[in-house]
Amino acid sequence: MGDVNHDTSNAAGPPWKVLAAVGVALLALAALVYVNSRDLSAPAIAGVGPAAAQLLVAGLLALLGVVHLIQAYRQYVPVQAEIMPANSNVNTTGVLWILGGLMALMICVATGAGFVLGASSLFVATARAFGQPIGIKSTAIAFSLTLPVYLVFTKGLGLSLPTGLLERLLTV
Amino acid sequence: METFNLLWSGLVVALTPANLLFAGIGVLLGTLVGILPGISPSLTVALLLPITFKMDPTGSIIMFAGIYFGGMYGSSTTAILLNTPGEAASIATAIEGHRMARAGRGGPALSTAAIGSFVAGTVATICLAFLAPVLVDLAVKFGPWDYFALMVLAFVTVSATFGSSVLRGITSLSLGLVLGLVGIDKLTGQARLSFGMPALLDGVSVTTLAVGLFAIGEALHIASRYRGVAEAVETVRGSLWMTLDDWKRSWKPWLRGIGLGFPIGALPAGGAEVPTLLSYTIERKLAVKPEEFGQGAIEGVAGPEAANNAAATGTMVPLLALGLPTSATAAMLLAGFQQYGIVPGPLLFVTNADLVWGLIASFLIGNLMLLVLNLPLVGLWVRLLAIPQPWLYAGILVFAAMGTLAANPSAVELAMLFTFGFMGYLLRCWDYPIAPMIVGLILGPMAESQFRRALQISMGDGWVFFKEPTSACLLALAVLALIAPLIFKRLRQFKAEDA
Repeated sequence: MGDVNHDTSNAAGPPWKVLAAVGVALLALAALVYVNSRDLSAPAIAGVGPAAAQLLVAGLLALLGVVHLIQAYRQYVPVQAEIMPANSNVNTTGVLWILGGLMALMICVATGAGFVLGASSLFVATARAFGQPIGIKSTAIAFSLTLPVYLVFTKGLGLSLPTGLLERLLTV
Repeated sequence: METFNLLWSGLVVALTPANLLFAGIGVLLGTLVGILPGISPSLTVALLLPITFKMDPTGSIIMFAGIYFGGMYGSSTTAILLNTPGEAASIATAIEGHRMARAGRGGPALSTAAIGSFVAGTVATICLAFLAPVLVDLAVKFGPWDYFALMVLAFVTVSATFGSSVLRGITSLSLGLVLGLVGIDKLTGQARLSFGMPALLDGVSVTTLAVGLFAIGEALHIASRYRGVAEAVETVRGSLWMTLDDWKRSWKPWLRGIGLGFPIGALPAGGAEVPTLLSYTIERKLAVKPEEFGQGAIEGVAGPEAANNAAATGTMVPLLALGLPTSATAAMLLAGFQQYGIVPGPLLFVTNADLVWGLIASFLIGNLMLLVLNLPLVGLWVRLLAIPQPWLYAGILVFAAMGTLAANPSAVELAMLFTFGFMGYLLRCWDYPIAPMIVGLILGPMAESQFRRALQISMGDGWVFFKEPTSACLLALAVLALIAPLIFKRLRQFKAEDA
């Protein structure tokens, strides 16, 4: 019984709660795009100005939002929503580890801790998300990847990656 | 005859040692990423955009094209040996190819895929060389209204016609269109949707969006389903060579695959999934031994693989002749052109004839390289599949972050990457397609500038799009392409209720 429900929900796309949420988000985005377009000045001598495309896109978004809400209403079956197995098999910890790793990289770049440190923390966190415990092994692999990457791309290809204390020590 | 001369001059460009090297790097890199699950060819091009910024345009674009073709070879290898298609267009290959590999016929499966792709790529490139100039002659007469209508048609076909849901496809497209609006308007210099943030004035970078949606989104999605079990890799046992019987059973599916793939790819219809699945269905219907389908029929590998490669070459027709990208990878190639200030379209054949014909000729060379390199290297590629998932995805994310930071070393860019990554994850969870969003971001601003130019010429008369016969026809086609899948869906429901 549970299997059957799962199959039909897959064939019909996302469940009604998601459709409703996406619909509301699209309407909000449409409003934002519309309000923002009102700050733009009137068109030049002939034709349309920069606001026209924004109005078109806002209209499209609003339409899509309404259609999403209609679909959500059509699929609204409170009983079925109770048995939805969607959330039971999601590995939230893994997702959070990767997002955390990206945050760590962002903090490293913003505070000037540098690319190597930031990218290594991203590496270790992602490996953790896929079941590799944080330890000497993953840290060692992380640095043996990020250090050469940094050197090759900054020295070899002349790109600029964020530098910190570690990078300055390397390049001296 | 003239086409052969142009193709010949293109070969001269493509055969210079530097360009040969670029083509070689491209196909090897493409095969590598095609084989590794989690990296798509479009993602690789996105990551390479900031890195190749200072290189020679012709060489880089030849390399990008090599990645595109190499990626398809690689993903068919993964599909056959691992039953995990590296990209959607390899699903058909995975069905029969993996069965063959399990029955100890992995070698012939890989061979028919490789040789079929080579034949398809070569034939389709020659078709491209003949068709593109014809289309260019036609496109020179296009007015801005015609271009706008053509882009609307491309929007609809890419997002709605062939996807699983019209609503979700168009939604993804319109999110891309919103991102395309962000930044300074090129005509009037006014800022749109930047909310006073200086980092947004330059607009949303294609690299950041593609890397976020593809790399981060994919990694999050795989992590969310991670259960700690690795998939088994099927080793290649027995001979790599095809028997005479295999050849006999393969050549017709190859040709039929080309016949399906090239036209569908060349129409602004987008994607190689439709022709591959069509080819699979047709081969099953025509098969002498239909009972073998589902048990490892070589026709089911030969046809779809040829269709896949021919369709990929086909998408180069609208891209080069009209500047119209109809797949995520074509959109990334367009971004590659734009990075060097080159605008694909009819004029490109006049202003950068060397580049265009060099690129077209490099398809021939790239396909030959793939054939020569890949079959002997199969052992090496198989070993790549054994990389444990933690290291694989951690490495992918480090390179993703590197690519984004190389384009713009700031924390704001990373915050955008973070947002797009999470968005890509949600889109995957709820089955929204990703490619329309990328196409929307790149094609949206182009469509807007044609729209405004048309209205400027017509002195603000909006009816111009319907008065001009070409644009009116194209817009009518767009409406048809939007409604057709909805009608078919209704019909199917109707029949289902009847039965």
